[in-house]
Amino acid sequence: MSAQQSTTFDRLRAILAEKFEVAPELIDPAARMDQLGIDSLAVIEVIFQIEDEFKISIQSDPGELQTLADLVACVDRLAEEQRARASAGAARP
Amino acid sequence: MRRVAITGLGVVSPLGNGAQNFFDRLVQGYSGVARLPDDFHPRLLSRVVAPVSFDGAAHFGAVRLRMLDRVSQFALVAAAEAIADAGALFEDGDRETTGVFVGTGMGGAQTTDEGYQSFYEDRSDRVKPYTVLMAMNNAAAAWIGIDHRLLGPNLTYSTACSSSAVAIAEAWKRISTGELDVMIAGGSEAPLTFGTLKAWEALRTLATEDPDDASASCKPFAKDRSGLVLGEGAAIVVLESWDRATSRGAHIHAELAGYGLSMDAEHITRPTVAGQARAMTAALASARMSAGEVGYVNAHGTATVANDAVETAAIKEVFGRGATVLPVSSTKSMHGHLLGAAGALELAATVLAIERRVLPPTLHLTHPDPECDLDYVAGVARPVTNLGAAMSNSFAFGGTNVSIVCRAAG
Repeated sequence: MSAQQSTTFDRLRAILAEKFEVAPELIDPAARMDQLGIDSLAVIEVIFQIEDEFKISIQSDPGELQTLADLVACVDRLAEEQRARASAGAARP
Repeated sequence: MRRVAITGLGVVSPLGNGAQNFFDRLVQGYSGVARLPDDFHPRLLSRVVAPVSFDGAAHFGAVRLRMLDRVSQFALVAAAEAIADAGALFEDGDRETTGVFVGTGMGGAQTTDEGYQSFYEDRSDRVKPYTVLMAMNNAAAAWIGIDHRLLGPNLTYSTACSSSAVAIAEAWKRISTGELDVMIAGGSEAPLTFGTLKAWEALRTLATEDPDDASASCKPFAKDRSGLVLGEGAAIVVLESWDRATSRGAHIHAELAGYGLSMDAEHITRPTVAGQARAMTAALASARMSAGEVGYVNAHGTATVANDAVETAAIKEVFGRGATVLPVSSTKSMHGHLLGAAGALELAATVLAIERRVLPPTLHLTHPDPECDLDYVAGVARPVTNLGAAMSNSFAFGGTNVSIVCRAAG
């Protein structure tokens, strides 16, 4: 896991622990959302929280985000795309 | 027909939470009516309401809280108190057959309001996934059933301002006829949102703020009454067959003796003397009670020009000459109008008036209206030596009138 992923994971873990009352010891990258007591509707709430926290917009099908590792990868990819767009914009004359 | 005991009471109200605390405040003549803070939607012109001081996080975890509209939070807290008050209610089982009947007029109004604001005004496409489940009218009853694993009939009644009186009356019937032994019944309402308040404002039925004292804006039966004050909260009662309650040694607050139901069938808002009188007469017949046995009426008493004069005339029609000495009060002067929860809250007040032998007053009645000439227990509570029976009235837009009568347990 890269340093950035670790940071993303830590931030996700904080969201799940604080806003969704998930016991911190259950939270590892391979954990499936349903194993954490987060049902398909609560996943949408988790996505809203992540969008606010990371200032990104997640368009993925929530069904594809089954584990925490899936979420971390998704967040990092979107954050990377956003950075790339921002620097491309800044490079324009 | 079997007798029905009231063995549990639970209240969340603008006068404070807890049934006994609520009644203490009524007797003290405390007003829960207040002016909204200036930063609450300045476009709102009618700014006096009766809000509940309530912190959902003190009762529910973060995950539950995101699934519960304020109306369900109130209902759950009131139901938990009522069930605890009934003491060892399910020790001998019966969860499988216990029903939950809840009345609400506006359901999850806050969720609906916030959802529309986010969707239409903020142009957001993010809609909370629980929106439907929070806003639906039967959410409060459903959550009570789920939290307490009550497997009997779970129904929601919506007849505007008489919703919870209907719910309790129908619950009484299930026990009275022998179909069920235990019922959890009452109502909940949380209508103090910008959208809902604005809609009520348009109806031109809300009270004008008293220029000297906002908390005195609701003036039932007074010449200077100007309309109702919207309130929020919940009240839940536990009803049991008399035999079940006595055999388990339960404390019985009072007997729910009967009810009457009528329909005005004339106008969607304007009440009728005949309709209200029919509900009261039917309640007395249902309880096999003479009018003379009733020692107190907790009036619907909304403080609208129309209701209070009509209700006064209807009480005179039913109680005849006895009406001149019959104490009648409107506790809405203190807790406002809880719409779908009003009947249940006022029944709790009626039951505790019988049990504690003190009549809660009608506040802010300093300028009598010649058309409203009964004994309204004006200004201060009145201790009574004996109160054998009392009636609670709940009337509604739409025209569904309900009167419920209770007898002292003794």
